[in-house]
Amino acid sequence: MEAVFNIIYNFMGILFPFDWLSHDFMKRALLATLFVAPAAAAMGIHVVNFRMSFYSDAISHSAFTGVALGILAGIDPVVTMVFFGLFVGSIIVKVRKKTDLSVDTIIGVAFSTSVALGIVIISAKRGLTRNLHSFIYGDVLAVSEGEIVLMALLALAVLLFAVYLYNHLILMAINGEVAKTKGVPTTLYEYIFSILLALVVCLCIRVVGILLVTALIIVPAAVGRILSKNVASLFWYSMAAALLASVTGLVISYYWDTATGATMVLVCAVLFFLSQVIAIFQKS
Amino acid sequence: MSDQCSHAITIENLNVKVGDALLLDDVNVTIHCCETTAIIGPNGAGKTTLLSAMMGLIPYRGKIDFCMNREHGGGKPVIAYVPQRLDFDRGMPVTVLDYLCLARQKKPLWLGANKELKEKSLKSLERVGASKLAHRPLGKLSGGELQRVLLGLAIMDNPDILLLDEPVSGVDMAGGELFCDLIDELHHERKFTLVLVSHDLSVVTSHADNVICINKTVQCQGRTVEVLTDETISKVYGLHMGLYDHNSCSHHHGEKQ
Repeated sequence: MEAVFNIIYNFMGILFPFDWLSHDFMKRALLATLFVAPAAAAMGIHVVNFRMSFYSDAISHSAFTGVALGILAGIDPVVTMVFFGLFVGSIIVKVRKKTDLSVDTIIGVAFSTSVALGIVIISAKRGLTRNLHSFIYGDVLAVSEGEIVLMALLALAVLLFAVYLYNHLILMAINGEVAKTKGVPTTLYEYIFSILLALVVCLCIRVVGILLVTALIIVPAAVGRILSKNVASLFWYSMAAALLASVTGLVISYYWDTATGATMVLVCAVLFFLSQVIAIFQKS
Repeated sequence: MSDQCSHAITIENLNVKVGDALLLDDVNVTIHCCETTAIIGPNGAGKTTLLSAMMGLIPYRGKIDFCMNREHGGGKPVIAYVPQRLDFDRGMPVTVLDYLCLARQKKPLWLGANKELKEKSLKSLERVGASKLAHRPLGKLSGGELQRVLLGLAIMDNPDILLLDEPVSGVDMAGGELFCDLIDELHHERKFTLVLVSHDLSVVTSHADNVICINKTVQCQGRTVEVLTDETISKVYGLHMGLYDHNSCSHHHGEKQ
């Protein structure tokens, strides 16, 4: 695997002979960003349509507990984080189908329970806190090659999802009943979407951290929504916003020596305000 | 209408339960091929529930059989549905044309719309008098416009059975009349089996060949002229309601009665 990555690094060095990309850790960070940011935005389009940003927030915060559990058990925290995220995600989806409680109540309960559990574990085992920092704030500069492979695989899964399910998910978001009469297996797709979203959230944590994952997912999609007039341009504007913001953020953070994930999200927010201004001008 | 097939949908002992509430209780109904059948009843009688069961959207006990004769293409019939209203996020950047293409196109719409499908969608919109709406955002349409678009979407699949839920509610009287006329035209042209839920009795008397009155269970069913008497109406609605030929979709359809 090392040999493959060395070839990729050399290739990137030739293709983009920039100062900021001269270090291998920056090359890894760029690779991770290029896989994760578009994947996050592709999911974000549907998160915004289905109004599920609270769900993605809940998954990311439950990841905190997943990490704590991993450190406690001596397992790679990335593994426990992913499994715990999936666990909480599927509980939310299951319970939502079974009760009359509103979705945000169910998510709120799951959210706070898992965060509380995480805090209890950490407070009982002092000394864990230091390891948690990179998860809370994100640390794309320390991302490993193994993680990049995981991110690439996930990006591939999201691409397949965007190719095969994009139309049907938009149809479902407009009206589930009509979608069902058109033969869309809505329940199955809901599960697929929720599970894939939980996975994307977990891998985004390595880039922007638990606190800002939701931003990386929904802000590019929000920009897309503001600028686009139809379903096709919604996709492309969201992708463009995600790539532009994350790469620009990475570069800025290198020169200004700021937290990478947070810088990406700030650039994203700037794009959001710019697109609002454009939309206002277009209207008048 | 063919002789081999006079019953498009046969429903036997249909029960629908949601939680502890029995929404439909032992419903036995026959819906005739290519004719117009109206389902009437008071609010909460289970009219929409019956439609949902026919579409297979909700779990039920009992039998719902569709006519599978060859003139209907053999297998499962194509059922199209026009909902009473479309609750959706009006800020979504979806054009009318997008909406029509979404259901049928395999290729993701972000790689462009299929040319044939686009033409087909436009033709369908033209048929329902909504060509001008093709590139408008779905969220900016009025109730009547949206209903036309939904009808356009429904007829795109060349349905064997068309289900309409409250076709004239939420539309003004003139709009409702136009919409009913349009449905009548389409019905004559395409010969689908039309089932409509309505509480507007004048729509029912002027458009439906058959009437099914339900209130959890079937109160009465049969030809419109025979069923819709003052007596049955007050039985179904539980209060004195006469039949007045007063509003939408009226006068020039008299020949049907």
